[in-house]
Amino acid sequence: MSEQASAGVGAPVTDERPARPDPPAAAEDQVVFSGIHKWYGDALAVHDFNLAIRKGEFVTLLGPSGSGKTTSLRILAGLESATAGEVYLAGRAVTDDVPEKRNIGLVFQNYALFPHMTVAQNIAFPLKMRRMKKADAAREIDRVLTMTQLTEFRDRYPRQLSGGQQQRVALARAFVFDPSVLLMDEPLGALDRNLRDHMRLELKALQQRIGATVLYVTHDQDEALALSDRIGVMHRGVLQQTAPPHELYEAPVNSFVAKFLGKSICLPARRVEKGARTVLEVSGVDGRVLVEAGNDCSTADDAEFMIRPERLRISAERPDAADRNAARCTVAAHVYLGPQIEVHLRTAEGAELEAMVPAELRADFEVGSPHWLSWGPDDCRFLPRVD
Amino acid sequence: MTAQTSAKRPPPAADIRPPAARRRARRPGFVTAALGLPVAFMAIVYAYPVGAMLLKSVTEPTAGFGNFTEAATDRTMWHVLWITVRMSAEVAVLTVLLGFPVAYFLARTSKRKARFLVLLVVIPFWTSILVRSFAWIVLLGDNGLVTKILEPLTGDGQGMLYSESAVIIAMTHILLPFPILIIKGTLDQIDASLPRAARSLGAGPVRAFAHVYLPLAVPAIVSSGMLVFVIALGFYVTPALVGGPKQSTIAVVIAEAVQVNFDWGMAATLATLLLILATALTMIVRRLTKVKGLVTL
Repeated sequence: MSEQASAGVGAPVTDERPARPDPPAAAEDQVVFSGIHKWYGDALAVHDFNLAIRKGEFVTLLGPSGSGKTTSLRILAGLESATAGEVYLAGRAVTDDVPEKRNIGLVFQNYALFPHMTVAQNIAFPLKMRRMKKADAAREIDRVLTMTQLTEFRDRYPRQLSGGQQQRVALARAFVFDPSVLLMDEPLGALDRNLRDHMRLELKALQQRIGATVLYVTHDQDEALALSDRIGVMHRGVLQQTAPPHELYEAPVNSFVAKFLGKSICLPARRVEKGARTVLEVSGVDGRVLVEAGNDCSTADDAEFMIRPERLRISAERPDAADRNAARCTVAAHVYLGPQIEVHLRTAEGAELEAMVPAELRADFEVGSPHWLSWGPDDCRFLPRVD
Repeated sequence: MTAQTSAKRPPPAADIRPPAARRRARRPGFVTAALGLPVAFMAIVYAYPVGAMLLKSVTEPTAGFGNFTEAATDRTMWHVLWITVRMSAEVAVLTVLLGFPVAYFLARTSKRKARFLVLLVVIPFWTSILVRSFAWIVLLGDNGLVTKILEPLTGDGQGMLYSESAVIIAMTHILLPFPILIIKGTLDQIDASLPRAARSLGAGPVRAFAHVYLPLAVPAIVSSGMLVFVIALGFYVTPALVGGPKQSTIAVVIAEAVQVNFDWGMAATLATLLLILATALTMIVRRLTKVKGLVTL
């Protein structure tokens, strides 16, 4: 292990490198990021990144651009060096290995197909670099061509292919040599909407067929939700939460995750009492709001109240149930979206929120009409604020 | 489908008549008009002189291919032709060999640095070839700087002026910017993720360069080499000033034919031969070095 890579002049972190962590305990962990930091000069790109990916698992790093997701992926690929921390691949520390020694399949956003090679030659490239015997290589190439339905295009050059076909070639080239892990950096980003939805299904089916371990990077939440076994949400270089898609959506741990994934209503709130149920004062909502203790994720008393719009029930009368939270509101505006209408509601205290209502009820939601919103204590959450 | 949709069927085919062909006044567009000027210019200063030259080669002093047979049977002519081609080829290879690393560096360094360094490459263009050739006379002459520096190695103060080496050095210096700029232009277009992809697929830095980067640069290497070769074939000033009588290139002989012998017919014949030679070699090299999958210029 060499000395810590230079963090650049003036970088605050220099000798604070954490002690070298023990190799990953779980043997089935195919990829382990352990305490990865990355500084560009004095800008922190990735902060204390820890993630373990099991064999055959599909994990997505989701986040806005500049959140550090691509940097993390490139550190695993060896295209960037980590300022601190360790990367393990199949139980072996590879932090200081050059990219060509890591046995990683990488799919670039722009595919990075070699323009002077045919489809077959592109796919043969990693096998040739591994000095595989010609006959064995030919068999492998035929196999992946069949799997990716590219057999008839084997002698075409990349520029003679459509975007979707190029994408499949890039994929075939990345897994033909049986890599320890497949890394994909926004692989569907360059395709148009319809093709992207189609390729998404194809990609998932292929991954399950070959049992590949995948680390996927995207800023598209639909893609992340549709493909992943687990999603890690990144923001400002910090991995905010890693969880299966439904858990991430139902139980976000902070307001950034709640807002980034799906629609959510977030309002500033203050905790007045802790117990079996947390009691909140929510800005813009009259009276006390009850939150199930399990949904109280904040250590600070000042944080955010969060609820998914579909958890709100809208009724004409105030609901009877004693433990239901309720708020009075009026319709400020509505937008017709076909099957649903998006209703903008304003509470008496001035909080604005949006809800979806079936379109056939639109007569009840004329602008200015009064309604009651209600929700149970387990429908809402109290979350630390992360902007 | 419902009755409603069928009611919206198009009327029977018999009723449909194609619309009258649209007429649009075919006036020359702006681009066509703007093209007229350069075309006229080229016709006057290029097509006409070349035509006149071709004509002179078969009409002066008498009609027929007498000049060509005379040139073809003259052994010194063949020798001059051989020297011209050989020196041009050497210069072409040298400029490409020296230019490629520079272009590679320029393409990979930051945009700002590259802009400044490209300026340095271009500045010699602002100086006339005559001045640069004279500069080499001073440098390579008997008491020149280069001679002095090399003295401990060569053991004498004799300059290498009026030798083939002197001509090659001077011409390489003068023509070097062409490959640098042309190759840099192509290397700039090479997607930076390609070498990275090659690395991730198991190629070391050398093999990534040899299998992916270099093949993509081949068209630029060849075309810049060809350009230098063709320009060098017609070089007159540098061989005339820096070279000796043994380094008489075909351009020098043509000048001699006109200025000393007043033999316009022979001069035109040699120029025609030079033209044919350059065209033929360019086409052959192009054909031999086509890289499949790439759109070449």
